[in-house]
Amino acid sequence: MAVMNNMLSIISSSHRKAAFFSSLALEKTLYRWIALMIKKTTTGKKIIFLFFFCLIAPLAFAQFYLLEQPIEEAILNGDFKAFREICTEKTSVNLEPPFRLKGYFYREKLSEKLTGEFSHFQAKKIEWVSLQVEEKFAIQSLNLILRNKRSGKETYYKFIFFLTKKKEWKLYNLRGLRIE
Amino acid sequence: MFFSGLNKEKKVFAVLFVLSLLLVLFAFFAGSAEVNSEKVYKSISANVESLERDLKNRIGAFEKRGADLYEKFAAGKLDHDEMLPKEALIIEEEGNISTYFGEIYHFESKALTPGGWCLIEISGDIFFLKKFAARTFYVKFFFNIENNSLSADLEYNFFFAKLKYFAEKTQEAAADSYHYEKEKGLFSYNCFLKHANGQILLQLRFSEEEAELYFKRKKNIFLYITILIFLLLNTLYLSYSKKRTAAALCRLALLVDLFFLLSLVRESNLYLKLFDRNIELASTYRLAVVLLFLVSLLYFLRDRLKSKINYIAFNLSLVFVIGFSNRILKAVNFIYADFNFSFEYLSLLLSLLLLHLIPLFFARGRTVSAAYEGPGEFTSDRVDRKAGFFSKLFQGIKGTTSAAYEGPGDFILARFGRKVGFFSKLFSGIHKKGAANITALLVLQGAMVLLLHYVFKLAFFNVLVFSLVLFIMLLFPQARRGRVSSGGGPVLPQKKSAAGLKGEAKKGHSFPGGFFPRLTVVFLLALSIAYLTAFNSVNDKKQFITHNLKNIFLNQDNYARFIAREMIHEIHSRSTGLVDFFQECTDSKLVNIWRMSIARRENVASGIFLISKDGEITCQYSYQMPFIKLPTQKFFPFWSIEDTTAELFGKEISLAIAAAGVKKRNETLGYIIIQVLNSPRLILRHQDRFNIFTIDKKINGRDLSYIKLNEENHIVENPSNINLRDVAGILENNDRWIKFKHTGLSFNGYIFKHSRSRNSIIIFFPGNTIFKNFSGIIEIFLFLFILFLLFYFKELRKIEWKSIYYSFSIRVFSFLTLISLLTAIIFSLFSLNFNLQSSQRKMRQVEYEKGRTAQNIAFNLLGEESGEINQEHLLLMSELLNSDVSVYEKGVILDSSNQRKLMNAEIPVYLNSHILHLLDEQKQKFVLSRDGYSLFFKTADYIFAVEFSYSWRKILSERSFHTDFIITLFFILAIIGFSTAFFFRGKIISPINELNRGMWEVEKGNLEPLQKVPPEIELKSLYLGFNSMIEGIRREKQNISELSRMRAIIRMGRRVAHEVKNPLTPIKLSAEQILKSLQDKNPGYEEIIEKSINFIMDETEHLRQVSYGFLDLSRLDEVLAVEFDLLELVKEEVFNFSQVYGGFEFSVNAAEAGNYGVFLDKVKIKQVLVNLLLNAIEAGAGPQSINGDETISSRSENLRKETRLSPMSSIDAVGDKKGWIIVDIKEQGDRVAIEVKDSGIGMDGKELELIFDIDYSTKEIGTGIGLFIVKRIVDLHKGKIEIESEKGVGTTIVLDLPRNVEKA
Repeated sequence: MAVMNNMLSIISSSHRKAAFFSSLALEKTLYRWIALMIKKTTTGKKIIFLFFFCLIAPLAFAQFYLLEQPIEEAILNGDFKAFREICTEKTSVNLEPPFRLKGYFYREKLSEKLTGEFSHFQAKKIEWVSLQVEEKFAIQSLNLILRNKRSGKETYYKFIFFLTKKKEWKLYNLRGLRIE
Repeated sequence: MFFSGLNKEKKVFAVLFVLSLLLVLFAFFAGSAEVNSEKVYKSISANVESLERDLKNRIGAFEKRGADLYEKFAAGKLDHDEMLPKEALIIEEEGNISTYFGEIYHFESKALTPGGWCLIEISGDIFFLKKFAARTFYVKFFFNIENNSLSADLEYNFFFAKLKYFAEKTQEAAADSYHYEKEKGLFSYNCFLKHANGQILLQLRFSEEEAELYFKRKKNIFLYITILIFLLLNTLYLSYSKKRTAAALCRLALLVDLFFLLSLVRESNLYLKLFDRNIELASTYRLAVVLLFLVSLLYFLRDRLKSKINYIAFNLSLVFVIGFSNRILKAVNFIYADFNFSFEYLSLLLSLLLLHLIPLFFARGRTVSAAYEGPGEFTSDRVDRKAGFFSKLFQGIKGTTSAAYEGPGDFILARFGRKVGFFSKLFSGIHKKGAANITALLVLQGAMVLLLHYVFKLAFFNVLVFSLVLFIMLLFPQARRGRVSSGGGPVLPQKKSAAGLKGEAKKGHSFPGGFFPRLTVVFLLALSIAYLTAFNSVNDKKQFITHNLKNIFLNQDNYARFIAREMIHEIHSRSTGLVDFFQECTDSKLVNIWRMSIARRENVASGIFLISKDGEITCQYSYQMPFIKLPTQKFFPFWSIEDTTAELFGKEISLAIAAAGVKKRNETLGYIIIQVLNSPRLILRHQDRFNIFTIDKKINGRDLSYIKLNEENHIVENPSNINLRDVAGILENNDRWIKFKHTGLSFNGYIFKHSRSRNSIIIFFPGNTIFKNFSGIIEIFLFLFILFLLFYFKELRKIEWKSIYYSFSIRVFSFLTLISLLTAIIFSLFSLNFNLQSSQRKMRQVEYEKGRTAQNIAFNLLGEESGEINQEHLLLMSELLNSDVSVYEKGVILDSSNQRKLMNAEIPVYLNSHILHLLDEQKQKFVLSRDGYSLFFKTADYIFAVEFSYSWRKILSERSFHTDFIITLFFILAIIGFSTAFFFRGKIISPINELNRGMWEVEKGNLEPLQKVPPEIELKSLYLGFNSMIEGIRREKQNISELSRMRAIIRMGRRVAHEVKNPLTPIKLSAEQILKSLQDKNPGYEEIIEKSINFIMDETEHLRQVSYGFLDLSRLDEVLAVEFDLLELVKEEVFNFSQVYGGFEFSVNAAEAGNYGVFLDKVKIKQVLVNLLLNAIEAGAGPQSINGDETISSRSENLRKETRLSPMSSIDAVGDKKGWIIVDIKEQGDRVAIEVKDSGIGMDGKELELIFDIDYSTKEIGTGIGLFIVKRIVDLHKGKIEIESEKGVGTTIVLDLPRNVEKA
């Protein structure tokens, strides 16, 4: 029942394609389960199953995470101008070192500050980790390796994006964690 | 080369600028945060020595302390309450503790010889252990590695190092070595600490980031100091410099440069922590820019603002300036790393350019219009213009000093009062016209506010206050008077005049002119700033709550599920599949997974549990929560995540559960369950330290809190223990702001509903009380007042403090004020102490109440005090009490609700022996720990320790309510004191002032006795004495006047005799000559006779004139006033003189529109004019002869004949065309003034003193009667005469006459 509820909530979600493939863990388990089912079911059922699978497969590769493109581009290019569009009017931020950003900023200021903070680093290996989405709220995380441009030292870091939806998804809280 | 030709003041300015530039550059380069091995090594070697020294000193102190305690113990005198926290003296028997004093957090018996010591470590805590005798040990907590704190009372100056590693090592080679691992970016330093049991290696390890932070912190400290130095220097400079518009603009530009550069170097906004408020310094820049533009605008429009249309234009310009400043503000905040040619950057450049150009413009404009020829002035503009910014600056300085002070002047806030005069002048054309125009102005201001609000999206209230303050200041009559008046100011050096010389005794010692009006403006500013900051603070908080906190609260469940997802991710990233994970899992593997997850990073209560198919836990790791079994849980072969509620010890809790069934082929191996406790800690606290409420410095959300209620209106969470009344009424609201009261304080709360749980959440913060508002105003006022005093330092120095000190009235006032202030201080301190004690008492009561609740729960759980306690009991108690609970059996820890604290040695393993003693032997029901954070009570077998949250105590102590109340109270008392002192001062001083006034009257010649004799005996006798003295003086004066009259008659007689005697001899000689000629009748005798007769006739005529002169004197007692036009009379006389004395340039100056009709004695005034003009001519001519037949003497004679003037003021000088005489006529109200200036030889001070004496003359044949007559006539008309003269330059005589002699 819990799974059904879970699945129903995902399917009924306005962002089901994002939510459905939200978790890599869920994805892995699901594929394994599908493979097991295919192995054990009859040919007719396999065809029906494959038909549905083909139906939803494009969705899986279309978009995984909310605001994925602007966030990725901003982090990779070190230019957070796009955050002016994807943040709420004021956004709270709490980033652990090596960044030094904590406070409640206007989005324009935040984009400038983040750009400034990122000027010392280069982002390597971006990996979206998890997404938890509800009707109006979503939380997603992103792991990355930060390379200090000066010393070349690498730091493992995690960004957690707290999003809310009015007309479209907007970032209202950003948390940064250093992973040791 | 720039300094050549500069005066001292400009040199100071130039040096200041260069210094500021150098310091900023130095801060930028020298304070660079770049880290390199050598730099770090230097810092380490400087700090490690102090670390080692501190460690050794501390060990020495421990040894001594242990020895003292052991001595007392051996003598049987050691008492339990002598022991300090975290210290114990232990008697050990066969590895067990038999007796102990103090409290034991950790003890590990070591094979030490008596007298030997060592350090032992548990979970990062280092303990000092010393063996004093065979079985006696002393243990003391030394320091914690994680916190990097040796102890509270020992802090070493080693900012960045963290003791990352601590162990016993034996490698000698590793000691005192320094390493830098570039690849890892790690620095390490090893040092040995040798002790009896071997040696300990302390290894300091830190990363590049930590080192970088250290250097950045150093840089920041440096920058803050730099800012302070600059502010001080600028303030001092402002205090000493001349107050000129362009100089002020230049200085402001310098300050703005400084702010700008510092904010760039600092890479962020600078905050000025002013009392309870964080003021963003970038706003200062904005304010400066706005004011600069505003003042410039006013300056250019100063002559054109006398109409409403121009005033509208001005307001519109102001709107655009403020709107533009918004852009500039954005530009100021840009990070230098984000440097590109955006609009913001360009606007910043433009603003900076203008900042430097405007002073230049002022300088240029003023140089043209004002002629300044002071020493050390710049001589060439052109040369300097080529020297870039310096030259611009210096040109600015040049202009500034050359400019006469007429403009708006400095506009630093505290100086606004001074400016009001200027503004008032600007607007005089408008506001003088009456109330209708003021209303129109207000409407215009209102329109401006609306425009700013809607077009430029500026906060309505801010603009409104700004606009109103501006408006009030523009129309502030008091300050205007202060600017114009000079009566109250320090006495300026008087002009060298007869009147001035006489009036020197009248010296004042009051504050500079306009001091109090300016102070009022400062108060007005403080008031507006206080309200603005308070309003903005409330607004910021409200915005933070509605836009951010609300979402965070609503998203709480989602976050719990998200953390579960993150843990799933960790599990999958470490194993190929769930089956492998399940089969190979161990507890340590789970610990690693948990440690790598976000749950550990954010300190979230959570656990990972592996359950066998039989329902038994095979493997688990949980943090701050037990495994919660859910009755209806179903498992699937993939992860499912859901929210659920469960009952934990009777209390409902929320959980996020992620579960997966593990199947191998068709066989179920078991289940993996991840549980995350969905508590407010999830969203409120990060890493157990940082609170989401305090995320922003500006919001300063220490006092933000919340309350959560369920659908049945029951309180679910209430961390601040707020007592809500009319809950049902409050819960009718949704998504809106409400107000409620608790313990007399008003709170602003935002209420909203959680759509899923149907819980209502109210996030609130206390509103400002009247005390808070008042103390806010006072704090800001004091701050501005100090600035004000600094800015007026120069003027304050002019005050004759010595005379103030010796002033009886000031002393009386000061004494009374001091008494009242002392009373206020004592009363305030007393009530503060009383309030603190009362709040502490209340806190204790709450604590004991909680203790009693805990005791009841414990008794219920244990069942008649005999049951056994387990961890579930403790967790339940902890949940119910919202406090950590620990339990001791026979003084030894049994368990705690907070395992982390137990593991981290934050709870004593052996209970404090003193508490044990009080509970066991003295049978006390409750014992409060010395620090007041724990309460102990005893059941049959156990001792419970209930720990109170540190935070709520802190919140309570941080509440500035009492302080605000005290500040308010103090100031009210002080104001009452001031008023009382003022009243009594008046009472005491006014009779003395009356007496003083009487003396001044005496000095003026008014010998009237004092009428109002005070009833007080001492003062009465003083008054009566004064009156009898006046009577005596009157009598004496009468005698003296008779004597002086006699003397005058004698003097006059001598003079008459002299004047008559002198011509008699030549007359006699001429008569004898005639007689002799007639007798001898020599050839040509007729001619001789004729000459002699002519001579006799001349001399007779002279005698006649002399007699007329004295006749005039006799008529000087009466005034025959007629109406006539003074200007016409003057013009006529001057014309007559110009006809006779062609060698002089005469001119008459008078305002054409003036009314010069007077009612005076025309003949006498004419006589005065002739005398003054003749005097001027004689002074201007000198003793030489002129080229021509006629002499001045003869011309004078002719004039005298016409005007029947005294021939005694004869002229023996001659006139050449070398002198000028200017007669100025002025009229104002009921007075007219005649000023006669000449370019004559002038007089010195001594001559000036004697000039009005009857027989004093500087001329060889002068009678000395001319100016005496003038003075007498002026006195008769009740007028004044003043003479200003300088030897070799000329003389100016000013007659001040009433328009109507009868009304004077």
